[in-house]
Amino acid sequence: MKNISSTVQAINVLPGSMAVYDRKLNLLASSKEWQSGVQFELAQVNSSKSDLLDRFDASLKEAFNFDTSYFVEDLPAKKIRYKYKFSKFENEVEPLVLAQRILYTKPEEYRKEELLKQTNNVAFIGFWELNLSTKSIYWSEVTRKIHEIPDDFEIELETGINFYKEGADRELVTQVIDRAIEYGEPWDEDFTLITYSGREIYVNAKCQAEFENGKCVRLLGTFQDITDRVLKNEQLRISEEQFRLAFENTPIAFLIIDIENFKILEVNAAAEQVFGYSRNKFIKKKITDLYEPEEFQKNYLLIKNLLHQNSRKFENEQKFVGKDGNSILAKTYFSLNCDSKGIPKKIIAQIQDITELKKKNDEINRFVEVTTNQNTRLINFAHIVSHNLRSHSSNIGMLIDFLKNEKQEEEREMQFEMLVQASSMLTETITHLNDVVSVDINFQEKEQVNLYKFIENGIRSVRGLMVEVNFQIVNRVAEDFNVYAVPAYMESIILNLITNAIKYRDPKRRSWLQISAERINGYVIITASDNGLGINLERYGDRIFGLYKTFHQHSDARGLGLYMTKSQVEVMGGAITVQSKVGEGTTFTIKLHEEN
Amino acid sequence: MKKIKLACIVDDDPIFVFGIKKMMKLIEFCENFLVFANGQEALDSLTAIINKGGDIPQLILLDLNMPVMDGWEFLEEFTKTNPPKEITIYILTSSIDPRDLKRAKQFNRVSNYVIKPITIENLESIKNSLT
Repeated sequence: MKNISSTVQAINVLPGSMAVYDRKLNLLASSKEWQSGVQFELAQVNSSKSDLLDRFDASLKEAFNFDTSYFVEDLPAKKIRYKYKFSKFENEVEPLVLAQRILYTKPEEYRKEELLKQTNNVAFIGFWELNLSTKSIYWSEVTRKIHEIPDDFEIELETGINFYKEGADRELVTQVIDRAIEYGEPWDEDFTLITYSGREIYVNAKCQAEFENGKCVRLLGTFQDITDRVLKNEQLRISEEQFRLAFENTPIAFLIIDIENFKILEVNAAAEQVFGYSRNKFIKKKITDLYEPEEFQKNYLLIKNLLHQNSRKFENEQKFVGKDGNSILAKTYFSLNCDSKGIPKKIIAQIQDITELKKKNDEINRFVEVTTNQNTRLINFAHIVSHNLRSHSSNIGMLIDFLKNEKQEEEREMQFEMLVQASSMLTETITHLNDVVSVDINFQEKEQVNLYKFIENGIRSVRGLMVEVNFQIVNRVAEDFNVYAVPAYMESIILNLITNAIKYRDPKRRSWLQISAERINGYVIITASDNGLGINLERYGDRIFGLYKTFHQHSDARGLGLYMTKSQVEVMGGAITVQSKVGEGTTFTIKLHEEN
Repeated sequence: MKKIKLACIVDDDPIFVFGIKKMMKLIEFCENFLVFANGQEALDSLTAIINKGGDIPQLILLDLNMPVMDGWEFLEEFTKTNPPKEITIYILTSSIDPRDLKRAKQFNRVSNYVIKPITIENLESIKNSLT
């Protein structure tokens, strides 16, 4: 044994666990407690015995360089920790180190820590510790997992910091660590971290500083992966943002309604647009205040049922009244908003204004109707053309055949006369067909025409005939009565009604025709009544307006007039109907739109 | 070859009637014929003849488009009277509208549908089918 001073030797008898080493790590002296404890304890840790001893030696050596160093001996089996403090002191001959062993963690604290560690493992909360005296970093298993570092990865302060995303995150962590060391300021921050495998994650790190003698010796804290939470929050934020954008920008009005009193609680911009009320006006109203009076009862019951039935939603068409008293036709969707326990909280009404759509749709339907009528007329027309042209042409062909072989002069003359007749009938038919087709093809613009004047003109053109057959026409239309019509058609329609009435008058009576007009619900109704022969409508009903359909034994009847009249009325978007009784008379009623 | 005793023409077109009568005489189609200008005239006269037990025509050549009562209406009214079986009805028309042909097939009493112009050959085959 080396020569040692008596001072050092005094340790042998001192209480407590202590020992003195020289620079070569020779044990120069030790207390009784040290001798009974240390060797024994260190020897217990079999598996990593040499590792532990190496670390013990390393810490001991450090003391020669830095005056003081520490080493912690963890004894899980005994649930205690010893702390070794190594302090350098100068002997007369050489520097020596005094090693003191203190009970660092008592069994109950150790258990608490264990428990915390387990809890943290379960909660996936990691630990970290920065030992400022040794400049070493400790990361718990969870912390290492969060960083995704391999088992043999050696962690140092610099490499630890480098996991933080370059830029603001790395600057922040450096800053808060510095402040903790300098002022002991604890911190709790979220960071973006780039893991060992290059994944970008979000973490929360908390830190507390430990001070000894006014100097920070240790930083320790927790470390937690909060990526899921951050992403979920982000998703929530995005979906809330999207909902808010949708809510505010949709053309569909949203009304949030109280389930108790049906008061409007919240509305979106579209609701203000559709109804014309401002948000402030809305929230003074109930949903039921918005209905048209005749719609109130039905919808009130529907909404009430919403609260008591299982369906919890309904959709229908409802009529509302806007701020300016305007009628709003809407497609509506009502649903009940419930909490997680299924208890109703609010009614959500989605109201889509379809007033314009409906108008457009009606227009399209009207257009389709006109087109369908036109199409039907054209198909019928094609067949009629075919039929009539065929009958004339076959007659002509037949007569020519006869003429080729006819010997008798008298017979030839007669056949030739018939040929001329057939030819002129063919020409006449073609003229008629041309008139008919021009109604559909040359559609003219409608304008306001004075109905009274048109009737007067019609009467004037048949005046000679009226006198001859003693026929009377009464124009009951007001002098300033206008209709929105195609002038040429109106003229033709009136003339047709007049000539028809004269043609089919009852010669046994003093005959008359009376024309009147009135406005009803946006329509002009023109009525022409006569006391003529009348038509058996049960028999001819569907054919009366047909082309080349005639019903009386009358040489003038060609079956063209009423067909033309009906076509002209329909092309103007109107309708014509007839009422008649044989022996009493006939009434034609024409219905036209008051405006376009 | 036997001659048809009495044939009936229902047509409003005087030129056609003139022509068919001429052709009928040429081929000695029948001994006598009745001519009516529309369905109503034909219906009234034929019902009267049948009721009185007079000479009934073996053949009716019926046009479709006629004033007052057209061929369809005539068919409906006439078949209602349950006319004697010896009467054969032919439709004789200028209409090539398929809807008309379809409609004609719904009448059991209509034996055939002939499209104008009618020719001597047509008339001869009608005659042969009847005698």
